[in-house]
Amino acid sequence: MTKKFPVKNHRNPRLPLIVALVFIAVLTVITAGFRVVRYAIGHIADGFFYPYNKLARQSDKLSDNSLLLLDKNVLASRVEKLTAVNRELALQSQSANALMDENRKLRSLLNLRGNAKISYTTAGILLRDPQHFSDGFTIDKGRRDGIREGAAVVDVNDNGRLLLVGIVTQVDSRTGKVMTVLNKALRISGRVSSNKAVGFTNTGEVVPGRGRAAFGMLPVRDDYIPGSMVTTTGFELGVPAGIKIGELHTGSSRNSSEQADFNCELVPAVNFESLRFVAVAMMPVRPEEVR
Amino acid sequence: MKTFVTICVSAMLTALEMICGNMGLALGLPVYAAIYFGAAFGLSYGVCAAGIAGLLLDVAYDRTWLFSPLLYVGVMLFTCQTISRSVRQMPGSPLAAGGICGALLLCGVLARTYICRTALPGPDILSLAVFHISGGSIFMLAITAMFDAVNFRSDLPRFCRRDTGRNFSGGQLP
Repeated sequence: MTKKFPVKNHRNPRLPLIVALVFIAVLTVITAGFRVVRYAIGHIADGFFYPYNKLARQSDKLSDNSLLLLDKNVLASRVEKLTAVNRELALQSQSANALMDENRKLRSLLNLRGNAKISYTTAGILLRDPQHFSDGFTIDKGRRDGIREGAAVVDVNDNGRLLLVGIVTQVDSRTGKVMTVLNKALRISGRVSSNKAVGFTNTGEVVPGRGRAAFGMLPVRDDYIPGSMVTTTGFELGVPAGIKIGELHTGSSRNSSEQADFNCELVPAVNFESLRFVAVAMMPVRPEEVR
Repeated sequence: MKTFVTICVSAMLTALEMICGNMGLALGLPVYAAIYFGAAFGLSYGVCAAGIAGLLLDVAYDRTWLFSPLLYVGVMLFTCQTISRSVRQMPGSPLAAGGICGALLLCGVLARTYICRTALPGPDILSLAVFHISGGSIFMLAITAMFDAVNFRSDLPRFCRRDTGRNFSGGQLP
């Protein structure tokens, strides 16, 4: 005959509550940790897969497989259209060449120097301050590579358009420091494409931490359209004209006893978070500097 | 030997801090080692390690005002004083030290971000706070376990030792 013993319940009544609290704490830590780690891993992955990502973006355009789904007649009409466009472009190119020849002849007759041609060299980003991540960085090219103070630092987008990253502010023998367009200390002139008005970066008020730069000292007009492109003017010595700085976001006029001007917020064209490599303008050395 | 260990570990963690900095994270890793050395070897070692690491970082980043040495030394001293009377043989002591250190470092980073009006170095404040406190605790526990094992074999002072009682003038009782 089996003897039955009373089973004692040794379980702590608060155990489910403790387990639930521990579970919530662990979940919070993992979630928050994951967000921060993902933020960091994103930066590593951007750098590691940079060449592949660039290539993939280009090849997406080249291998547009949707063309295979189109009808033969549609394709034929598209080819005809493209042929017409090509013909127009060829004519424009011919006239541009004629103008260039004429310009060269006139310059030689007037004994004018030709326009200084600016070449570019690529550089990698060596060091970035985490507390001023978008304000500036150090590149791995310096005076030995021909980099000079005031040179424009640019990036190239998928369409091959140059985008202004910033300006080289300090050059050592092997490294250079770059101040980006988001740095409050950088003043560069920019031209609004929609109305050709000229203003200066970081000369107004902007909400910090949103990745936008102030763009002010603009003439007071009412034809500033949000989304208008802002490009460099070429007034600065090392910055060629026509490089895209960004796009206008919002604007307001400022009237004071001293001046009345228009201020905008500028969305930079460059994504500073995923920037790994840049191109630096190599300014030609002027004869007076050689002496 | 103590000086050699302090310099080597601080230099390695400063280099690691720069690598993390390139990813956009300001973690303050040398401070954790400085707290360990301050608690195990003496406050002077911790102050020197924290001050020099902060100075090196500010020079490397070309910062205009030397905020990091002040922050690092302040955090190190505060944390060491907070844990000085705890029973350091228990694992809770390094965990608490790491948590306090992480929270103070984040406060320093946020203060600097607010003063300089720059972008936050991370995704958002809540995630950063949880990450700094929990990650700091785990990191402090890990370096305590590692260096205590090394110091035990090298016959150097360790973090996890039981404090003896203190008399009224602050000295230790026999």
